[in-house]
Amino acid sequence: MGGKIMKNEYKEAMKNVRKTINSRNYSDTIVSFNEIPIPETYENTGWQLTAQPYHEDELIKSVININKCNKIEYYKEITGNGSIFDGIIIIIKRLIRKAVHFLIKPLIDDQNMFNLNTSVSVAELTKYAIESQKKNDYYENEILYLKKEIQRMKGSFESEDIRK
Amino acid sequence: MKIIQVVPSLNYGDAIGNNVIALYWTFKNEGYDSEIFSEYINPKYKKIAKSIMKWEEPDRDSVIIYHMAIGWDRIDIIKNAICKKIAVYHNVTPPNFFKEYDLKSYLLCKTGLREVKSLKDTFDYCICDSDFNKRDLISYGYDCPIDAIPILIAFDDYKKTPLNEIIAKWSNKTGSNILFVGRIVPNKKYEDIIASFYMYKKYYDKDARLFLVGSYNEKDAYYQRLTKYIEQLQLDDVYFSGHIKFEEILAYYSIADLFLCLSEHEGFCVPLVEAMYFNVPIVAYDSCAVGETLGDGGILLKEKNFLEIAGTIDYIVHHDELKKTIQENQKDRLKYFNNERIKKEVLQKINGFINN
Repeated sequence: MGGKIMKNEYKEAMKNVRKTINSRNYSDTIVSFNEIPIPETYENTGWQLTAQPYHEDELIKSVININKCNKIEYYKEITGNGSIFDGIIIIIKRLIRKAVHFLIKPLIDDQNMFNLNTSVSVAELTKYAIESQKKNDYYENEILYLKKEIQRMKGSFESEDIRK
Repeated sequence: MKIIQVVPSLNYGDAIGNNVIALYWTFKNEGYDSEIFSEYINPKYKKIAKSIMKWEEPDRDSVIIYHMAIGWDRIDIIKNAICKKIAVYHNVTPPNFFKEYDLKSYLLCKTGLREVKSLKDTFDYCICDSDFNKRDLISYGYDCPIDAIPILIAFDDYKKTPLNEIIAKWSNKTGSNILFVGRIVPNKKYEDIIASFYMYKKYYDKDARLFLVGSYNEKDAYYQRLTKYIEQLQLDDVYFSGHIKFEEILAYYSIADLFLCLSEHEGFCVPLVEAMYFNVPIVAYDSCAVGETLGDGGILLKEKNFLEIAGTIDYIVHHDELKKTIQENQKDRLKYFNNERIKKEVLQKINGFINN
């Protein structure tokens, strides 16, 4: 809060504000912002995916999605905007594409190469993760079985001791 | 002696960009060989700044000034430089604000914060925009000398003529104009401004308007959630300006009856100083550097009670005496951000650092 003079004025103001609120029975009830669900968008779904507990199906789904969109096409269909000049617009757009080909195409090729390597890496890592998970499951079962065996053998040793 | 400023992104019209350019001229006028290097350079600054691709290892006598605000994958060039190094710390927004809304911003802030922490032994001296930022650096383990000096603000830009269309459209209408300026991002707590405005409109001024002036992306989850909230409250007269020209921003300041800031993370908050410049009374929530920038100007709220905020807005808008006192205090506070004074302070500190 501001300077000394203002502090007193502000106190007075707040007193009046609260008095008005009380005397007129103003209610502070309002819909909370927390009640509004967060819309799922491209920017935040990735995070939501990782914020949730690990789910193998989700991982596979996103790897498939990566593979679907990892290649950038330079020669996409050129369209107009529905006006009577569409024919001319399309020709101009094609000319522009042709003119910047020498500049853009190498960049796209480099990006595609990167995307391809990234997709393969992600796919390989995913396979590795799934195989590791399977191995883990197998070893967990093994450990569980061995623990039970130990318990059983301990039990039989103890009963043998008692008999002796 | 060469002073080289390095900033990951040199934008036109943003607080950091303005500060870099103002410092560039300050050093040049002082007789230093002043340079700016950046990865992204706004076309308006192409003649002044150089691309980081042209970076050459500076000699031992040079001084690097690195502007820290977000993560940068080329930070090694700063780390490896053998000359003296200064950091200007503008603060990094805590990533958690973005956690639910925007993965990219979340990761950028997270990387930025990690980077700031990892650079604790890199710099010989640090300048922070505020004491709040200084405390941040100390908490991250920075033990070099640190000074808090306010950011240089491009006041000359505010002398431009505001866009008349906006003034003509909104200034003579019944009902007051409430304003906040800043990018539509979660740390600015737009939802709290909207909730307070809802109370204000419901109980005090049914014709009031709220102008939220700042850029946004329509696909952004936070923006979408805000618009849904406004719908849910059945609230009219909330206007998002989107990215607009500076003359338009000036026009919104010209028509504003009150500037309401309920942000929960600011390393400095330039719009507060802008509101002071345009004589708009300020009501702001006391968090991070807000109280420090506001100083003795404006009303600083210690808690967020939307009904009381609405009452406070009404009291200020309709009680000329308090409004005048606030405006006078803000005018006094504005003197503290005088560019000449700040330039002198920066030069004094940097000269002192170089000579030592």
